[in-house]
Amino acid sequence: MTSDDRPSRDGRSDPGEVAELVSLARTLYPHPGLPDAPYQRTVEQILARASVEPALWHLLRDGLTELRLASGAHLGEVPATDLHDLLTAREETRFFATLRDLVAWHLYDDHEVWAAVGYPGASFEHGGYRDRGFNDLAWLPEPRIEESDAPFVEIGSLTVTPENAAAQTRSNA
Amino acid sequence: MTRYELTDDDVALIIGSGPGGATLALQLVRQGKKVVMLEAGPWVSNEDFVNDERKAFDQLTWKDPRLATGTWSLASDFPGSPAWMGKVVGGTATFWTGLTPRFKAHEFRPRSVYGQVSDAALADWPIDLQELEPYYDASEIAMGTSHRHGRPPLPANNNYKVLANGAARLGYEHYATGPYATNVEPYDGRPGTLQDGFCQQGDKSRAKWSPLVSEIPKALATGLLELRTNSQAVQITLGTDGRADGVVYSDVDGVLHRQSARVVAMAGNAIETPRLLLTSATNGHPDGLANSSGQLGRNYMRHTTGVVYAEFPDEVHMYRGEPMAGIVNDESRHDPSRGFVGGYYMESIAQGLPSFSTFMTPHGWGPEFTSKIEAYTRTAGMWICGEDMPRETNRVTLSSSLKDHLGLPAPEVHYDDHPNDIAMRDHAYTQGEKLFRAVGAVRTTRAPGMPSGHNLGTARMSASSADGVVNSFGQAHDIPNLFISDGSIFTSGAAANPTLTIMALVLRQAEYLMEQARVGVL
Repeated sequence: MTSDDRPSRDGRSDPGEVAELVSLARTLYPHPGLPDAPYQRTVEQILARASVEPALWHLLRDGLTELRLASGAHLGEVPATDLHDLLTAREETRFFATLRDLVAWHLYDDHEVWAAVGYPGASFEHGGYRDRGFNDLAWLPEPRIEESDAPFVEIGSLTVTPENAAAQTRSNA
Repeated sequence: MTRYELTDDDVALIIGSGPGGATLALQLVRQGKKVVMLEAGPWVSNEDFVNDERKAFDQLTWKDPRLATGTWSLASDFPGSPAWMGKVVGGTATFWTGLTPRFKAHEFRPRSVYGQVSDAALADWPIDLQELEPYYDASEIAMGTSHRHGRPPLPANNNYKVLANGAARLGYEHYATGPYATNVEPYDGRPGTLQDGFCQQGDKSRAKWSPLVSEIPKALATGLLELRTNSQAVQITLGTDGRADGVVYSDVDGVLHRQSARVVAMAGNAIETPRLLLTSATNGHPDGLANSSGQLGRNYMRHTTGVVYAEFPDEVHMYRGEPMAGIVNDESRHDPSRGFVGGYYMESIAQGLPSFSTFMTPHGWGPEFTSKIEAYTRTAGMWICGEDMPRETNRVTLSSSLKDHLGLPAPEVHYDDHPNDIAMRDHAYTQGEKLFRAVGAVRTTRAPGMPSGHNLGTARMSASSADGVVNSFGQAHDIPNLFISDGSIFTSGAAANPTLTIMALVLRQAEYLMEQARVGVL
């Protein structure tokens, strides 16, 4: 047995299958600027889970087999637009719903994806944003932060009339 | 920590350590009363909170089995998660956002002011704003709410700048960065905010008020509170006199114990409170404790909600700073000319990327979805928080099939959107979109409601014992030494975020309870 055809650590998936799932993951959540690595990690996490959840493993296996039959090819070689159409036609299946939710769950928790999108994650360790731009938006004027002293209409239309004007109760004790 | 004997029948036993339970505990121990508090979850210290949405969710959330049914979007989007609640010392307030508007006067009288609304169980509260005002003051002072009692306003973060400018351009007038229960500057032994976000992951800095950083340690310091963590109440027991005389609970190993008590207060949130009372059904209370009215579990409310996300050509970085430090009040009025009764607030909301990807378009996929993800740093968010209609058929019941880890029936939460809820949400989505378009949004997304943080109404307050579960003090009509100290007792939902009102009602309840004890009734 060579290293290339050795089953992966869960004993059930093979590299070809991983490549197919990566193609599906990218079709579900296409980010052209992202390399394969985050998709690969996403698929590995899904397969790790499937390795201890037989129902999930069966669901993925059966779904992949059906997709291969429908496309007549290894899914890694099917053009993205065709894969998209194949998935759209299966949007109501449990296979699709399960794969979609698992891919989204893991992909958007991947720090390489965060970095690509521009989400920095934890901030406390860096002192928060008090001195790092929590208020650095400059394309709009600085708004009022205090409450307005204008009368507040509690019942009726926004137009203030003597009948509907009820000064907002505010305690500044 | 103080230890009380399981047989000590002089203790007040409080179930739940959230804002309601913790506020009651602190008031009682300050008056010299002995208190045992049961908290189903663990103690998690601020330094152990994690600035990571998924890890924090796992650390703090009540994840026991539940089921959502009905026409609300949660039944299809997240059927196992009707609500997002804490299972941790401090309860759901451990990850609350912090806005503290008060109810308006007319929101205590919805039946009188809104009139007959078909298929809704509107009722007036047996209490009015004037009666509650001193307790609102005390609650705001306890929390250190911004904009109140000399506490400064929060500065504007980026998300607020978008919301407030949009509000102004739309002609709205009543917008501000609070009232918001997070310190701007040091107060009550806690620091000012670092603007570090991650409010909903526990707030490591302690700037945000929660019972974990205020009422609980203060109550423990008196030496009169015993807090039992990882202790889940499974039954309230009654004595031969029909009064509550103790609580059976499961400890961290699943071993059952029974604590005797003079008074029992239930503060487990509007799903677990009716669940425990239903589970505790016994001779004389076949439909659940304190349920002679048949109202227990009914009238479940969770606010009419939704989110408008708006994409801009320029950067926003909504995740920076306090996540909900912005509120627009103008639409919170009652104005039937809009096509619905009641009102709604428009509130800033910011989410990290993992939550944004889960809730922006639940189960979305494909290139349009990913283009919105890629616009994350140029996205602003606004949450809708409006009054929903109480309905007898919107209710918490015990599941006949789903069970928790103790083998007890899980709660099923059934909720059908009322036509008024739908009309209000549509109006709010439209106004939110207009607001953001007014400051240059190039694309907007209507996100549906998320698992409910505001859970209300399932043990409603009523003047007559025929109409509700508790009186205006949260005292069960049927069992005089059983109190309910959480949002379950709301007669209606109002538009306001509920925590401040829960605390105010419980402060009033505590005074009443002490007076009842003084005259020997309790």
